[in-house]
Amino acid sequence: MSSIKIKAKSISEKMDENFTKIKIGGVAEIIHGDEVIRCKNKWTRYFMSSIIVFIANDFTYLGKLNMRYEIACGMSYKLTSRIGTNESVATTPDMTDLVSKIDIAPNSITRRLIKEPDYTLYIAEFVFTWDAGTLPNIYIGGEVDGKVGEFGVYLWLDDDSWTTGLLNPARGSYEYVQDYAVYEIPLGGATQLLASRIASADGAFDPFEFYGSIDPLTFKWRFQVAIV
Amino acid sequence: MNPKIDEKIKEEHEVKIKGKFKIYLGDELYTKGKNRWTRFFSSSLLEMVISNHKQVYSRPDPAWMDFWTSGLSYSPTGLYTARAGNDTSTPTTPDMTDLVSKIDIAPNTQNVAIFKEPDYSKYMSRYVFTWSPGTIPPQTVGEFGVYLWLDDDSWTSPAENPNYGKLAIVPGPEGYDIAVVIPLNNPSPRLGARIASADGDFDPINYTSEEAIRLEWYVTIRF
Repeated sequence: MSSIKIKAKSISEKMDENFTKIKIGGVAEIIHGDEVIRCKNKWTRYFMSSIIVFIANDFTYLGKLNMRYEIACGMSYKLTSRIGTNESVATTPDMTDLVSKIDIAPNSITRRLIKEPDYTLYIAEFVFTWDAGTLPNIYIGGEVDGKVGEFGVYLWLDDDSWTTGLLNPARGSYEYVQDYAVYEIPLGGATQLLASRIASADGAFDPFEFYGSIDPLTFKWRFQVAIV
Repeated sequence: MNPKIDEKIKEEHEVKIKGKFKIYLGDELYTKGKNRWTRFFSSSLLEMVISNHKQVYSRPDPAWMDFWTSGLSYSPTGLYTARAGNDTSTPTTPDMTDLVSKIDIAPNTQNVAIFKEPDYSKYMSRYVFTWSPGTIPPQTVGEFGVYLWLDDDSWTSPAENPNYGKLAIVPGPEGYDIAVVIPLNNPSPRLGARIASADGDFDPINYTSEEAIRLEWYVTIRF
């Protein structure tokens, strides 16, 4: 396993800065047919807000319900991904969704957590696969007129509705579902939101035609935390 | 995945988390700088991100029950807190579980606030821990630690489709225990960040106990 590349520094600088920064990287791999595209993502404010809220969050009373089950949720509760056809709109931090989303879920999702033995690199890897026949044919003049131009990863995130300067934050939310089950997370107004976008408009990859009726599509996304 | 992908990460596509501190003696700024991180902090962030859901409590029949959730800064009984220490010679490593020579005296006051820029390019939390004059006896202070409610990082790599969660029974703010849900398997107060003279972060303090010590700790996330 490799580590995230950092700029070369003098020994004294390295000693001075050792373990002082955590770098979060989002990288992706798109596999269709024989082609493998490697690229980088951009983040949304909902993801950043969720991280800072989770760190600073105190306990919060969520309520009283007739329940049988209590369930702890992480950000991958209702994890999913979508592709889209936009090729021109650059990603901004306040983007809530893909620009031209094809609203078809992957057939399978795999999550994997990895760490280096020296504890300086932690990786969360997500693999989304659309089987052949799941997505439409996407090409100029085709069933969907255009090209694949964007990918999005959706997580269960804070809605970032808090006001700056919030003292002793105590945010939390829950879903009460059938059979008296309560799903809880220490984030406010949590809902499924765009966390990461990989867009051709950002120069992440070249838009491509895709024949979903006959080809599968695999999208790998890695969230990496490196202490550097 | 091809390892070369890592090399393609450019600065503009990274989110950086920085931990910075300021130490005040009375009203005077004594020093400021950057903290070092532990693996318990990194692991807890990853577990929160990758976890889907985990059942942490069940009962045969439904019943009306109160329920709570918490992040890493559970306050009522000091599950998040800070300590000073005496060590002046041991550099920080990511697997450090505690201060080397801890002065186990809690701050008299502590709070945390969160901030964000209007353009959403920067998010920050600011913790303030204050030991009043006379709280810490006179001695050399060479290290500070910030403790959060963090996981023990005991999972084995790689972990396939992992889920984390705990219904932790903890003393509540009104004197009775409460059951708090957190998306970590083994949360406990653990060292999340260390500020050490041995790392060159500050010159050891010859503390006389006559002035308050105020530790301000900032966690910043920015594009």
